[in-house]
Amino acid sequence: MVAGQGGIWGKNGPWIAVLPLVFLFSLIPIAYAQRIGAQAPELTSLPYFALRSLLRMFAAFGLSILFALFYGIPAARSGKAERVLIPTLDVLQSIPILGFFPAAIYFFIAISEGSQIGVEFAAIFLIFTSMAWNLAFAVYESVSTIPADLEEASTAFGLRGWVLFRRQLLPACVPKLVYNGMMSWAGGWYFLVAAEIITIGSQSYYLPGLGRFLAESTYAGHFANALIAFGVLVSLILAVDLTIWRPLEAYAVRFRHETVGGIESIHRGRSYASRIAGILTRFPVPGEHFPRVSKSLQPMVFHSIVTLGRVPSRLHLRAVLASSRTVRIAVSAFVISSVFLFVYILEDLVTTQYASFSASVHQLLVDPIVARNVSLIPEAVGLSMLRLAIAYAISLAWTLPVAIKMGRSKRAFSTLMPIFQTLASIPATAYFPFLVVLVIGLPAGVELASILLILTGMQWYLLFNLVAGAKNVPADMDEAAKAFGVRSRIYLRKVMFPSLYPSLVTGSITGWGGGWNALIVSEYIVFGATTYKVLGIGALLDVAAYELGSVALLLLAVVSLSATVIAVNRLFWRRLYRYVTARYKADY
Amino acid sequence: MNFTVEEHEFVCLVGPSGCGKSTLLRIIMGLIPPDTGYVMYRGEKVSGPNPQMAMVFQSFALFPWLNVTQNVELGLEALALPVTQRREKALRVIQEIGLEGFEEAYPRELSGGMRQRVGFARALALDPEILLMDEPFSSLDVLTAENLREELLKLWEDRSLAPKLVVMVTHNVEEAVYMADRVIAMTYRPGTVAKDMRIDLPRPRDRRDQALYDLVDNITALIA
Repeated sequence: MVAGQGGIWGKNGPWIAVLPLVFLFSLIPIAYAQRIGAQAPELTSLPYFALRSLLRMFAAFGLSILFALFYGIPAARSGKAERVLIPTLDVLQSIPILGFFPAAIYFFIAISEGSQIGVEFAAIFLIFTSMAWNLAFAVYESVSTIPADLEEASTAFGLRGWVLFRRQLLPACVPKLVYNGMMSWAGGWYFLVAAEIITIGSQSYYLPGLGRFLAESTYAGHFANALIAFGVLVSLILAVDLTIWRPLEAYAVRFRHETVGGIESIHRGRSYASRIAGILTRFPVPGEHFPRVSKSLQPMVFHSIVTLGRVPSRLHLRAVLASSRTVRIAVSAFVISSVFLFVYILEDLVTTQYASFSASVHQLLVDPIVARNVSLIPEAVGLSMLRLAIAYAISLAWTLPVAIKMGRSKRAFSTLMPIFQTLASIPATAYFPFLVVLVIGLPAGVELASILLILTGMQWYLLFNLVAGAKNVPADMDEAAKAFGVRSRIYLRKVMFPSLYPSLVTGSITGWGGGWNALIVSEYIVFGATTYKVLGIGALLDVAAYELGSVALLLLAVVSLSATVIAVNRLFWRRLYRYVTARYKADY
Repeated sequence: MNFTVEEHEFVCLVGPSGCGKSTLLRIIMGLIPPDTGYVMYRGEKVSGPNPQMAMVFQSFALFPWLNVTQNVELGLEALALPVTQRREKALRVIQEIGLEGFEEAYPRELSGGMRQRVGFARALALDPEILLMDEPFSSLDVLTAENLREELLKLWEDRSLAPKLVVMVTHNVEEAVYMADRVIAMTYRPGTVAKDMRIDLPRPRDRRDQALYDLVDNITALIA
């Protein structure tokens, strides 16, 4: 789709847009005719619930964009700000959504004394936390990589304040905001269930929404209702995608920098959007127009293929690479201790909560159940990593051959790609219940179920990155191989695999990120009256939040998880990334 | 280095790559502060960009998401001129620079020569006293560059260009001698002024003139 051909909607656009729009807007009058259901959700309340969820998503998304602009622009324009803001963002991104529950509850719910508005804000805040960091990074990247000559022109012509923002900064952000926005949007759906049912121990807060409807229907065993709700979810996703994201993508084309004269600007034109979840690319740039970006970044040409929806990843390699270790440790310590401090101070203000927090700290030390859970943390982390490794191996086993096939055969690519894209855009949390039903009866069913669920959070990253790598075997290498009659197996080893290594690494990094994210929902499954759990850090988080209601344990688990993620990133992935890009980078 | 420029001069800074001529231009403009020394403009130190000095860039530096008119009126917008005023001014300059009919076009739809015309229009829209140019023709193909040079010279000789002073940086000695009233030749390491000479050849100049070539050889010998 090119902007300008038939306008923003494309040639058949108006017709494609009408249908989903009609569907969406028809929800509104139906919704007004409904009331919020009492306990078990009625099917008639579904349209209203769907509308509320959609509004919630829009609100969270809007706030995320605002946050991203206010955070990312200063970070990109000031070296001092950058050194503090980016590591903080990296830490924030590694905190799972459950880690924000205490904050959500105390800031919004406690202060508004449990009113519906307070709970609504809490939910919007939680969804916001799954969207905002990614967008902030997008803004930061965009503004950092504005070509030097454009920046000079801005300064030379005295662009300042609002004019600078409107004409230079905001337009520069549009492409990445659109692409990362699509990802963030999908991530929001993924966590909808978690956001619409906020629980700490015995306190539960419910909101009218699609996620809650899905969860409650499944827990209550009303599978027909759950299926219908699932159908509604999928239609909503597709509708928003058709009416908002696709046109926006086409519109964003005009904001790309391109080759000007003989000197290339930073962004090469990419036909179908950029990276997946958090891995940033940089493009080789002729010396004169070197962007003002941290020097420790590895340049790597990286053509990825967009997916319409994906699980947000908490890994942000660039930020990890760009900061100094002391700063990171200091910032992490600061952030973590402020979180504790904040919670503690706020508890102090809200007298009814004070007792429960000190009780939970007391619990940590005294209550055997809680204490035992604390002691289990290291083992839990180890087991979770083992599960992730198994899921990773399984993903690799199927994605590698498929990706190679798709890379080499145009037909395979054009048939399979749309299927995979659609599958990837459906949030896995929506069909978990169905997966679980199928698997739970088998021996070691729970472990198997959790590994499968982790798989759904990992495999798409791996697949799409590998496909990108396979498709981009440099044409001349390919021709040379053909010319020299290099046969299939040797071709694979000598030509295909080396081209794949960088994509493999980035796919693995983002895949693991998605995997960490998926732990919370994979290791602790509520089904009907039973709760299935395995020993793992994700399960521990859920236990802390949903069963024990111990804020202190929750925070401890969050810290352990974040620390592990960051440690694995720095000690393993970062090194591997450096090694692979240094050796196998193709200088396009 | 130390030199002064007067009004109604077309000055060229020539030198080999890396001698700092582009940097010097940016210091004059106020984009980069000098490590030592200062730049005086009309009796006052230059501390930052001001609307009396406008720049044309080697890579055109056009905003891809703005059309020709919006690019041209960018400087005027920064001065907070009301829409009608700046639109009128921009359209007039676009006409003078030969881009009539392309007001709504986007940079990616234009050829290199046209893009640089937009660059000129953008600078001239400010009616600046000083026009600074950083190798404005080196990204263009030979024929387009020739055309634009001729047009620029015509406007300059015509006195219809607002600027009273043009400072152009180039590595092309022949271009410098052909266009300038005065050539300041710089050396590489250290970046100093090797020679500051007037070009007294009558305009319009003949490229094949032996006197011109003597000057070119002279200067090239100094900076090579």
